[in-house]
Amino acid sequence: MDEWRARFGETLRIRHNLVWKFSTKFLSSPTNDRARLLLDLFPPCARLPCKMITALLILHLMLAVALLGAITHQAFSTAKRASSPSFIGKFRSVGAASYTNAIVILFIVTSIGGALLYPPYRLDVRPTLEDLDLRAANGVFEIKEHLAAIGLGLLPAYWFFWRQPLTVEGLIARRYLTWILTFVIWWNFLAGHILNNIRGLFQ
Amino acid sequence: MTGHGRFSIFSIVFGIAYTLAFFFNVAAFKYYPLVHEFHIAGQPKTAGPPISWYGWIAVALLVSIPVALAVPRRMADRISPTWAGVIPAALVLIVLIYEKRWFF
Repeated sequence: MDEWRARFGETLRIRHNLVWKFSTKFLSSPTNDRARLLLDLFPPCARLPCKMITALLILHLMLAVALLGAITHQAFSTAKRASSPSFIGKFRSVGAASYTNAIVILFIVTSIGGALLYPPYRLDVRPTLEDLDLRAANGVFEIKEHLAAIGLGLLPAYWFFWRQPLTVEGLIARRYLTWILTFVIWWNFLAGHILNNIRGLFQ
Repeated sequence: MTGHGRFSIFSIVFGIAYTLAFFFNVAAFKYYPLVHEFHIAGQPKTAGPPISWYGWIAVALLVSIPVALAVPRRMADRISPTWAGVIPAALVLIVLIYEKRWFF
């Protein structure tokens, strides 16, 4: 059994190396036709169970939607005291502090989902974007990963300033941190959405 | 306002350490998804493309946790809470400026 596993692993490794060599060296002067040929030969998810990646991607998206809604409510609540009975007024007048723990947990869990999805992206999507010369799409993702990391680092301070009775300075910090997180979450959501649908967007 | 110091220091140092780590490409380790292996040292091209992101986050954690714990609480609380908001905002701006190379 162990010998079979070792041989199977070695076969997979050789196959993966061939795929990589093919995609990077043979296609040294990429054109759209060659990239499409590559996509046809080695479709996305060729190296991991496709269904698992799809399920994880959908879960990642659903968590991101929940996170987006929560942080947007909270950010608007810090912007101005709600007074009018309009839609915007009611949107602002949520009990913003009660969102904090949910936002922290959702941010961490969504980031873990993103970290799990990164390897298939790096192997299947990014080389394709490079072959199609879609530099901006790559840049959008680069920013997404950096903002996610900075956002993770912000969470302790963000959590603290939402649970404490505030001084004026604390209020400023709370507002800054909430709006930075809002920007990070909106950017990452839109970037993920564009990259996920890029084959349909740039035909 | 007391007690915020260590949280603020962690968030500030984490952001700075992460930004420096990716700017100078200093990763605690790299993951090679093609061969499903983590490596501290760089691997030949046959190992496929590396992912440095996990390693940059690890560097930021390895720097920020000890710093946040090492600074005495009284000293940490002297830091204005405003910095906990201003410095990460500046870091986000720096990242956006640095990464504009992909668009032009």
